[in-house]
Amino acid sequence: MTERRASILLVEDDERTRQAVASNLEAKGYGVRAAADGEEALVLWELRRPDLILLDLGLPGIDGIGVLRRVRRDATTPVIVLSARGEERDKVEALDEGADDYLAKPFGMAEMHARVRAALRRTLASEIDPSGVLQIGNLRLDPDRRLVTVDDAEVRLTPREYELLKVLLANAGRVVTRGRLLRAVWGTAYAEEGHYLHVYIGQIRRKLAAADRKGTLADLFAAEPGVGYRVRAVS
Amino acid sequence: MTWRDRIDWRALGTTVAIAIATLCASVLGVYLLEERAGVRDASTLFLLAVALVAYLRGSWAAVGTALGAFLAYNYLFLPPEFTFFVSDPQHIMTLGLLLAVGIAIGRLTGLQRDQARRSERREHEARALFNVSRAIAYAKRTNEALPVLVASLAEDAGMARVWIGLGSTWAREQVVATSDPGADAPGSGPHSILPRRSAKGPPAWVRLSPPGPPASRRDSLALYRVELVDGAEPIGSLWAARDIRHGPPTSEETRLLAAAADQIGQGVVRDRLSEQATELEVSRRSEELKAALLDSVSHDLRTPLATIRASAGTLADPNVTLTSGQTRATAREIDAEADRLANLVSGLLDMSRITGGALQTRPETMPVDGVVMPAVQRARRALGRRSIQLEIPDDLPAVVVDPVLVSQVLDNLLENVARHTPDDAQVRISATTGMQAVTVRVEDGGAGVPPEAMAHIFEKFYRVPPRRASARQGTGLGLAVVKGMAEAMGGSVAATRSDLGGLAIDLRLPVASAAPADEELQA
Repeated sequence: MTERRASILLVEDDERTRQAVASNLEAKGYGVRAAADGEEALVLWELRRPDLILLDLGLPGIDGIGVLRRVRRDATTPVIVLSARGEERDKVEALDEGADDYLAKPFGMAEMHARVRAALRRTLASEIDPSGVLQIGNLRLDPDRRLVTVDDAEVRLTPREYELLKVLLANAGRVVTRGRLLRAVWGTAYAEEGHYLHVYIGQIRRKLAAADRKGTLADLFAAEPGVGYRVRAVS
Repeated sequence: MTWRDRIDWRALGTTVAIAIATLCASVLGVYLLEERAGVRDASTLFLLAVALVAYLRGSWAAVGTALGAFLAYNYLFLPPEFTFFVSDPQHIMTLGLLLAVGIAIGRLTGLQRDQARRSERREHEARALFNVSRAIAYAKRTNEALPVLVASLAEDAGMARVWIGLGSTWAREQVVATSDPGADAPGSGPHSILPRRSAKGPPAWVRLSPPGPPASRRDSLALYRVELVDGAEPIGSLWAARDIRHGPPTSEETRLLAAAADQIGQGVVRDRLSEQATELEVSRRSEELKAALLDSVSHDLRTPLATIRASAGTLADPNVTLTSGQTRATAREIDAEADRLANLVSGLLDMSRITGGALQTRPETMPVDGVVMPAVQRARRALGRRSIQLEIPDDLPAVVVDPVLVSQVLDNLLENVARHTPDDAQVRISATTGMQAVTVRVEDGGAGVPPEAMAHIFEKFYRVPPRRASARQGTGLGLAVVKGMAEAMGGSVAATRSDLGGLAIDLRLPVASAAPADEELQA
C-alpha cells in the first residue's frame, strides 16, 4: 500500500484471536506487534510508536480505555477499538476519548482490512489540500467561501447544517459520536439533545439528494445507532 | 350486657335519673289530680311512668320505678301521710295493685323492648357477617378485600380500630390491613384474646398479660385479639381496639369478630394454596419451555459447529491435497458457518436480555426517515437486486424510540425479507400515522407465510415450514427479537398478508407527545 510497511500494534488478551488476527495482518504486509494486556501495550507503544493501534477494550490490568487515554496524551495515532456486542456504552466512551473507529466482535477479516486501510489513509493524507477544501466524490465543501457544492451546483445549507456537514467531512470515514457533534455544532449545553442530530442529518441528506442527480451521495451518511454518524467514502 | 360484666356507671346513672324524673313528674301529676282536681285515686298515673321507663331503659329499670312509685305514693299521698304506715285497708289494696301492675307492666314492656333490641342487633350482626363473607368471596385475593373489611368491621363491632396481622406468632405479626392507617399498631401488651384453635362452645375472651413492659396507665384503649387459624396452626390475628369506657364487646360483637376471623383465616389459607398451585404450574411450564428451547438451541449450535470442524479438519489434514480454489472455498464455508453461529449467539443474547428484563431503553425523539433510511442503507447489499419502494411521507410526526433497538428491529425485518424472498422480489417500506403512533410497514412480494403459521411467527424458535427442503433456515429468533424490542420501546408488531403477495409486518412506534420545540429548525 505504501513504500514503507505500516506498523500495527494489536492489543488483545485472547491468545487465539490475537494470533489469528496478527498472522492475517502480517500476510497483508503490515508489521505487527502484539500485546496481551494493557501494560505490555504501553511498553510497546513507548518503544515502537506504531502507525495504528487495534485495541481490545476488555483487558486485564490497565483496560482499553486506560491505554487509549495514555496514547492520546502523546499522539493522534489512529486507534480502532475492538468491542463485544452490547458494550455500546464502552464503545461510545472510547470514541469520545479519541478512538477513531470501532469493530464489533466477531468481525470478518475483510471488514477489518477496510477499516485499517481507511484509518491509515487518513493519517497519511492528513495534511491534505492546504486550502482546507473538503471533498468526497462530487461533494465539495470550501470553508473559506462557506460554500457547499454538488457537481459544481451550490447547495444552500443553514449555518448549523453547514457546521455539521463540515465536522463530518473533516472526519470522513471515522465515526463521530453524537456528543462530539453536538458539542462542536451546538455547544456543550446541547450535548444531550440527540434528536436535533437526527433531524438535521435528515435535512442535509434531503438537500444533497435533491442536488445529486447521479445518486452517488445517497449513502453518504451512515448512522451508527446509539453511537453517532459516519461519512462514508464515496466510490 | 349481663350483670356479671363490669357495671356501666354512666348507663346506670342515666337510668336512675330518668326514673327519678318520671317519678317526680308523676308525683306532681297525682298531687294536682288528687288535691286540686279532687280525683279520689290517681295512682294509675304512676303506671304511665313505669311504662315510660320500661320503654326507655328496659325491664329492670321499670321494676325499680314500680317500687319507687309504690313507696312514693304510700309516703306522700296515703294517710297517715309522710309515713310508710297505711291505715285504710282499701288503700292497702290500691297500693298492692299499684305495685303488682307496675311490676307486670314494667316487665312486659321491658321484655318486649329487649327483644326488639336483640333482634335488631341480630339483624345488624347478620348483615355485618354477610358483608364480611361477601367481601372475601368476591375478592380475587383475600388481601384485596381486607382494607374494606377492617373498616366495616370497626364500624359494625363498635371498635375504634380494627387491624389484621399475619404471622406464626403474634409478636412477629406483620400488619396487612388496618382501618386507621394513621395510627401505628400497639405492640405487645395486655389484651384479651379470643382463642379459635379449640373453638368449642360460645366464644369467650381470655385476659392475657404477656411479660414485657406494661401498657401505659393512660392508655385508654382496650385491646382485643381474635386468632386466625389454619386448622390448629395460628397464622395471625384480627385485632380490635376500643375505648375502655365502652366496656368489653357484647356477645353479638364477639360473635361477629369470631366469625370474621374464621372467614379471613380461611381466605388467607385459600390464597396461599392457590399461590402455591400457580407457582407450581408456572415452574412446570417454564421447565417444559426451557427443555424445548434447549433442544432447539443445541441443534442450531451444533449444525454450524459440525460444518466448521469438518472443513477445518479437511484443511488441517496433511493427507488431503487441495487446490488453492478448494482451500478458499473450504475457508469461506468456515467463515459463513461462523457468521451463522455469531448471528445465533447475538439473537440468543438479545432474547435473554429481553426476557431477563435487562433491556434498558433510552428513548429519543427521531424523525421517521432518520429511523428507516439508515436501516435501508445497511440492508441494501443483502437485499441485492430486489426493488425497494419507499413511501415515507414528509409530514409524519417524530417517533420516540431507542435508536439502537429500533435499528436492530428494522435490520431484523429487512434481513428476514432478504432471507425468505426470491432475489427479484419486490420490497416496500411505508409509513403511516394514526392513533398516537406511526406504523412502519415492511412488506414483500415473496411467497408469504401460510395462514396457519401467521399466528406463530413471533414465537421464539418458530420457523415457517419451508417449501423446499433445501431452503436455508433462519435462527427462528429474528422476529421474536423484533417483537420483544418493539414492545420494550412501547410499540408493537403485527403480521398480515401484503397486497404485494408476501408477508407484511406492521411496526407501531409511539410518537412524541409534541413536536420537538426547536425554533432553530425554522431558521
